[in-house]
Amino acid sequence: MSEPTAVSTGSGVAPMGTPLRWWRRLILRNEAVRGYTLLSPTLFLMTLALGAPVFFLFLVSFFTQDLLEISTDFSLENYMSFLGKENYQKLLWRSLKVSGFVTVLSVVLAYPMAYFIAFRVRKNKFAWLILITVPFWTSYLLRVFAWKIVLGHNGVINSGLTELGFIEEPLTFLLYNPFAVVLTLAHAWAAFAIMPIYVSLEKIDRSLLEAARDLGDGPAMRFWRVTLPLSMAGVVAASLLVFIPTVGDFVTPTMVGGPKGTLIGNLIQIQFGKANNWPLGAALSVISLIAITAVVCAFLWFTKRVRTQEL
Amino acid sequence: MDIDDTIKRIRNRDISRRDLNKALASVGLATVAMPLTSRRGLAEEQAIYYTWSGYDIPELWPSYLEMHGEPPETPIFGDAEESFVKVRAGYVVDVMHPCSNNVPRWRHAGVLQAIDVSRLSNWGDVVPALKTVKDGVFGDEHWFIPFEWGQTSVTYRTDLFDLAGEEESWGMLWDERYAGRLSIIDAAEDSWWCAAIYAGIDTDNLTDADIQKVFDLLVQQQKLLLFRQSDMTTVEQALASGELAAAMTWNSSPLTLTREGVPVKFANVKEGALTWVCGMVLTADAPHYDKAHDLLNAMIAPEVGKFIIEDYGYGHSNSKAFQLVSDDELFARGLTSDPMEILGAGTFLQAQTEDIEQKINRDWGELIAMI
Repeated sequence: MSEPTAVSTGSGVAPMGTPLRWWRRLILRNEAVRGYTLLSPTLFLMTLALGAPVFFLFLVSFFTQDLLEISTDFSLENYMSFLGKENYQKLLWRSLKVSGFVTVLSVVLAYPMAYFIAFRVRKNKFAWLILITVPFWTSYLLRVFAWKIVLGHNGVINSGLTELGFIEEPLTFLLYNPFAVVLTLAHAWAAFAIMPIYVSLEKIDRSLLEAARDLGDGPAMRFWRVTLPLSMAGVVAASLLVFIPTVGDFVTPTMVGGPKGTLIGNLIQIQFGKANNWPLGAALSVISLIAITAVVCAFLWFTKRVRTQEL
Repeated sequence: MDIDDTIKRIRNRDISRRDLNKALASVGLATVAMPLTSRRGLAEEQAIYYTWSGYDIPELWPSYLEMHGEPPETPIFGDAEESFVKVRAGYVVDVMHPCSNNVPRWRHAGVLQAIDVSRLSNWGDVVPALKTVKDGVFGDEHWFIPFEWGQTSVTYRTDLFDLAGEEESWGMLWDERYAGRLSIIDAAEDSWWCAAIYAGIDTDNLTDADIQKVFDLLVQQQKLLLFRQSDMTTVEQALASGELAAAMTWNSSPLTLTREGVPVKFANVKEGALTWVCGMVLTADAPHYDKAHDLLNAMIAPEVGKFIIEDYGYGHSNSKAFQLVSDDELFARGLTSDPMEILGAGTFLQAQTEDIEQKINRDWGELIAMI
């Protein structure tokens, strides 16, 4: 329909009448444009659902709130109050520590399970993977509550030990402290650690393991020099998947943490609720975002160094 | 096509594929079309009552059920401030359930509207002192319908908590001997005010120094707490198991526990308990204005009051409700037929200036970061 002569191939500027043809040419010539076009639905969603909210969070963190009025004048007050309050810093530090323990615990517990499925299970692997997710078919809250029943004052552990005559008084260090938070979170996020480790173990070329054995490595050395380094990608992915979301968790500490197990997520949540100080809540969120990013970068840098040195 | 005939044909394999498909298609079409022809009209929209858990049961609105055949919708909040923040952020409901001290601030924020009490046939029976509760009336307009009232005090295990000859006092919740076996309510409305009573400050004229004094007391208490409860089940279970020796509760908890045979007492604290009245407010953009009034009227009926007194242990706003309950039953709940005897005896939870309320709420937020 459109005249072929309307497009002069050398000019570079497409005539207004044929934007579609111009677009097609751009796509055919430029690989990057093709890539972004393919990505565009996802990119659009990400910008709308993630980019924009984070941008607004960042923006609000420079505002101040008095009563119900949010003043949009630029202010560093919220950030200054974080720097000025040792308690806030301690709380963030505690949250990072708790998440660190959760990450280590869940990865250490997940690795043998993933290993077992990848190397020992021959039949029905898929069924095994489904089995691992079975506890996660119940609600997150129910699982947290289950831990309350296990660890509680007259819960499973305490009543069991009392029945057996090991203890007279119920143990009080089980519930309402950071320990309970670590345990509950590690269990709740276990599936997220197992899957990536399993995938990376599954991908390992079995002939490499045979080669290691032929060259004289025992099982321990073979694991240390071949299996572990080759599954590091999965371990790193698992660590990130567990660490990043748990820093901000506020449901688990609310239910099993008690005052000693409070985390930064609780402080942020209260700013958006009872304390009615959204800008401070936003600033605290931005600060934890930065802290998490810093920890993750340090972690990635470290694992990269370890890996390159070994190779 | 007759059904018996068809079955016979299928059995004898005397049916063409086309005929069988036709039969199956007619069955499928009938199944899909059935709800279209026999569907009842969509359920009529009901009033939305945004409330505490435990206040979402049919016993609270028998006459509403009778009038409309369906219960109101009852979304639930954890504490009143949360409901306020959500409604301000655009959540649409008709009726909310704060305590009287919240009403002036919520009203000022433009969230509420006045209630037409002339539509409430039970309004005449409401205890006069509650009708005119300071924070609920503006000019001659009523912005708050009182519902339940009670006290906040210390519930303690008489077999576990050793008073050591001392009088019952708010100090029980600061007792170092019971570190890790105490709890308070996770709401500034209760816990901040109880600490204020313990501090002995004049709650009618709060100064910055007073607020600081209460904050210091709360920080001191923080180390002694096992948890701060946001639901009463948690604290009742912990008291029953002996995990807690004493806890801040409303007057319903000791009633529940005593019924279960747990040796507890609701302390008659020497500094005076915290007394409060909670009830219903109407939101400014209530989409079901008429039904909301029907609900309000249903909730202040005498038989609802009887239920609240007998089962929850709180006082109710309808004066006739007290005639439906025996004096012994009232006494067992720490109630009398004259609410003012109790409400006047303690420190009444009332609204402060918005600046002071903000300070209190932010201090409360600050407190959870105190490690």
